[in-house]
Amino acid sequence: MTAFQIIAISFLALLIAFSTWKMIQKKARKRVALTWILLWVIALAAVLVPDKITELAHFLGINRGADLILYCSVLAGLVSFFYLLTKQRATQRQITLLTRQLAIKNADDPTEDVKEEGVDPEGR
Amino acid sequence: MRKPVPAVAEENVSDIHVVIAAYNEERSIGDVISQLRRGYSNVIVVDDGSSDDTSKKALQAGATVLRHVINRGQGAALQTGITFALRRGARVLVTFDADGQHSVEDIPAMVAPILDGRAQITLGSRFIEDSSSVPFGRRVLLGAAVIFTRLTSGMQLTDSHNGFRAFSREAAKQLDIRLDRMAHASEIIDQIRRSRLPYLEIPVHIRYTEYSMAKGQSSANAIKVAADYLINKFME
Repeated sequence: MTAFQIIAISFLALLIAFSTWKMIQKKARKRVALTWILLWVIALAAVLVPDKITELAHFLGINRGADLILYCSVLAGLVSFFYLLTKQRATQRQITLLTRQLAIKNADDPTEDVKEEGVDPEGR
Repeated sequence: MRKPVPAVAEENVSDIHVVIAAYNEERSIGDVISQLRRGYSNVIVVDDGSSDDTSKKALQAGATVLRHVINRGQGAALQTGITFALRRGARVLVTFDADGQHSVEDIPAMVAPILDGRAQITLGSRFIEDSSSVPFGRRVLLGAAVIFTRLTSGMQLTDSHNGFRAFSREAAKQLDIRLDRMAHASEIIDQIRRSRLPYLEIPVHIRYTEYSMAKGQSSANAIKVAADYLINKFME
């Protein structure tokens, strides 16, 4: 076993333990936790039997197992980027709508006689 | 010379709501509102999270003031003001700049086509009549904006990025500004085209002062604005 394998395996084992613990403690939803555990197990397999990844790569027409992993990571990165971008735009939109409702609700109207003289325009 | 447009008839004045989006405009907002209030009673200012005394100055000058607790951009602020004006029963909505570059004297010409039903929307243009007062840099930038608008929306306007606009109640109801920042100008034009409502360009005079120039959009920023608009088209 190489030094890299020892480091990677202990790290992944920690992650698996962490995800499992979170699931047991009900701090994470079961499906989410299981997805993470599945991901860690796949990574563990890739570290333990790199030859199998290379075989899979060859089957897909890619030369090296490392390339297969690289392509997968880039793809995963792009997907998360667009997912977050969409989320971010939706959040921005919600903030604007919230700000708008607040502004309309708290409008300072000089024609309404309920306003007293000397009201602090900052509303504090 | 343009034909003088008679002042707005007394009975129509209360139907008109002037909407101003303002961000850190304490230096100019008071004068702008005072001038407007001489002819128009309904002036709505949306203070877009200013850190200065914009709200205070606007209130003192007699405007109805709405505050965005955080800065959301000019597009967002205009939509807030328009939504509010519609709720207050506005029949004609005018958008006006806070930096003093628009003239109150141009309002009758802007609202007349809407009041007499010739158009649902009017757009102010500084390029229909003599535009020699427009500084060279502005002319280049606005010319590029006009070409950009023709390419992206197909609308043949002479001045696509003028904040001086007027809408009938029906037209304003159809407006839904979603681009919070400066790209809303192009978005509004897209929505006008899609609504198929009749619109007119009206010659207006823009006063260029050192102040309004400093508050205006820089050429470098224009690229950011164009990108914002195009990304939105792509993501819609």
